[in-house]
Amino acid sequence: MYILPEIFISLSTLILLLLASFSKKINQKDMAYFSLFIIFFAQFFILKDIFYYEEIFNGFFIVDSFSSFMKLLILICAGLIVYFYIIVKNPVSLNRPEFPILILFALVGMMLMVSANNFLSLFMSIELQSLTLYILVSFSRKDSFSSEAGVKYFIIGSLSTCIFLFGTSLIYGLVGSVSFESISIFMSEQLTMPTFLIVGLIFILVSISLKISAAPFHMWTPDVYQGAPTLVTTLLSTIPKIAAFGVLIRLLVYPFSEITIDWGKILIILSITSMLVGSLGALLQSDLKRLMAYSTINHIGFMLMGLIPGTEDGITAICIYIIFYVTMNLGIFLFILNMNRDQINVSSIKDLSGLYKSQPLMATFMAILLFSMAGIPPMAGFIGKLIILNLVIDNNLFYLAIIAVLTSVIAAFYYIRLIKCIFFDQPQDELDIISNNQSKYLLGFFATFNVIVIFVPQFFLDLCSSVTLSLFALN
Amino acid sequence: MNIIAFYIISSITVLSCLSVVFSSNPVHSVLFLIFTFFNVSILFLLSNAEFLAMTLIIVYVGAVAVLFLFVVMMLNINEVLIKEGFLKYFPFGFILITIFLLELFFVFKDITLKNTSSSKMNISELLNKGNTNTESIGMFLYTDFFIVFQISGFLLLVAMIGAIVLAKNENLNIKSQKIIYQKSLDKKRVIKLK
Repeated sequence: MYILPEIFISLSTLILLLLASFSKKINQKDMAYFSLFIIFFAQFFILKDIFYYEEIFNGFFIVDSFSSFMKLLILICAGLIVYFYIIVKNPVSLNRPEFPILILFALVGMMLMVSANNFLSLFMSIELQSLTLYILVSFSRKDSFSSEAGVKYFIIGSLSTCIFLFGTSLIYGLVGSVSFESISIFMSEQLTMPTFLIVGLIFILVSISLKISAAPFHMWTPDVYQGAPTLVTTLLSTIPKIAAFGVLIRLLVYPFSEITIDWGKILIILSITSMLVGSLGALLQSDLKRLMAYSTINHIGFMLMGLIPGTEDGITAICIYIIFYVTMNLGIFLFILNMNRDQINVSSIKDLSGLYKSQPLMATFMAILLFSMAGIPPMAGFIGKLIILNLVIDNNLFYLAIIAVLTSVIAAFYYIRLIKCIFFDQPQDELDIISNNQSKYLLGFFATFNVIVIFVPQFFLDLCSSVTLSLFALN
Repeated sequence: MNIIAFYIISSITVLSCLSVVFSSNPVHSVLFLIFTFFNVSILFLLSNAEFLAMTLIIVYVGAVAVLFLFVVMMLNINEVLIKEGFLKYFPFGFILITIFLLELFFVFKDITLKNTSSSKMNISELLNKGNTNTESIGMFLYTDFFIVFQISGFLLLVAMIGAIVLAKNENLNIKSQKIIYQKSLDKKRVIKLK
């Protein structure tokens, strides 16, 4: 019964697919409503079993509260994105019934990803997720940018797949099995860790870094984010990152827990380069979507920092950071989705200038979200950064904390440049006023969420620490 | 006998792989690729995996490589353009490859690979019981591995949807009558008097 949400979603997706191909009367908006309904119901299936622990399908998948929590987060995000699809005026190329269906397929892949307990099932679910995302990125195929982004993403993704398989084959050669459990048992039996295993782990880490776009494996991110349709960029910057982080956390904490020091060194390099690239690369960007790509890289660096000690507190900090990051990102992308001039979607930074004069409320919401991204004290982003920095200092990694603070100061520069653009620049050509009320309310919701978190940080801490407990029950 | 055959075939495989990368004519590359697949299937035969060997020939040589050949012939690839950046990237790439190979060499030097599977999923056990190769693979695929099998089915479905989405030309601007729409028209909404 435990894999019920995935089965539910996949079966209803198949039914939706039949509906889409045989019924002429149903358009893409109805499909989106149906998928919203499916996502909503799947959440109840997860909530029902959130504290269960069970290995299912011959140990191919595992259901524990960590995976349930990640699935819930993924489902909520996906639900919001499908809702964005309904309320926002989309480009014509997205108006096809396949779009929500493909999102649902990606959802199944990502939900299986976070509960995979075997390299084989992990590989298959990563493939299901990424194949769907390649299609979504190149969805507006008449647009040359979108096709280019699709091809780039596809090539990088295939490379990542190859590297993943090579690493898995090395580990299989040594251990004789690909299930996480036997790898864990094998490692606890060894007196000295064979380098072979670490080499295999490095390959897998590289592959997952390509998925979460941690520098130096970030090169595809800005191009793909800019080229893809904005709604797909919203999807790319939130859900796959959550899923890949879920995989990374389970992989490093469960089967490879014995070599924490070895992968900790790799993660230190990854996080330092990500933070540097993310903060320095964004300085000269003029496109909002490109800027958000670098901002994602910067945030990924911060999140990786929490994983370095490999302790329960670290995972809790990452979970909290992911929640806040997702709300900030969804809010800012909702605004970018609504940035139109004369009915045409624009996304350059210059277009923001003088927003305060035409739409003061929206400008304030945007400013709150941007301050939160920069980590200015009363907002949610600050709490996330504080918890992670606190953890890093507790583990005596002072140089890492110094680099993190310095890079977030640099990153604050470009967020605050956007705010200066919104409030003080003279408007040259005003944006269309956001007409749909749902977008306004949602934007307001994201902004208020970022403000009120400071009053209830304990709630998030308790939630995340109760969830991460299940990961460490195994060892 | 077996081990000598293995060494001969595997060295031929490596050589033909290298010629896939280094041959200047793309058609030659594809032909060498087919040769590589044949050699690998012989390697499978040497390790008593007839089913895998035959599948490799049918799927890769019969379908994939032929598709490759078609694409290569249709694209009319300019050889000069491909070779253009070679000298520029060669030194850096060579250094990286050398470092990587040396690292792998040191790692592989003192290692003993396990030749028996430690998990309960052991195919040689089934073979010893007198099942044929295909039978035992089927037994695994549809029992222990059935969830992976299902997911791969989903993967194929997604690939199919993707091909249709990306290739089907949906002409939205076509001027045709929609009967339902025309019948449901209201006279008062269409005709305007100013």
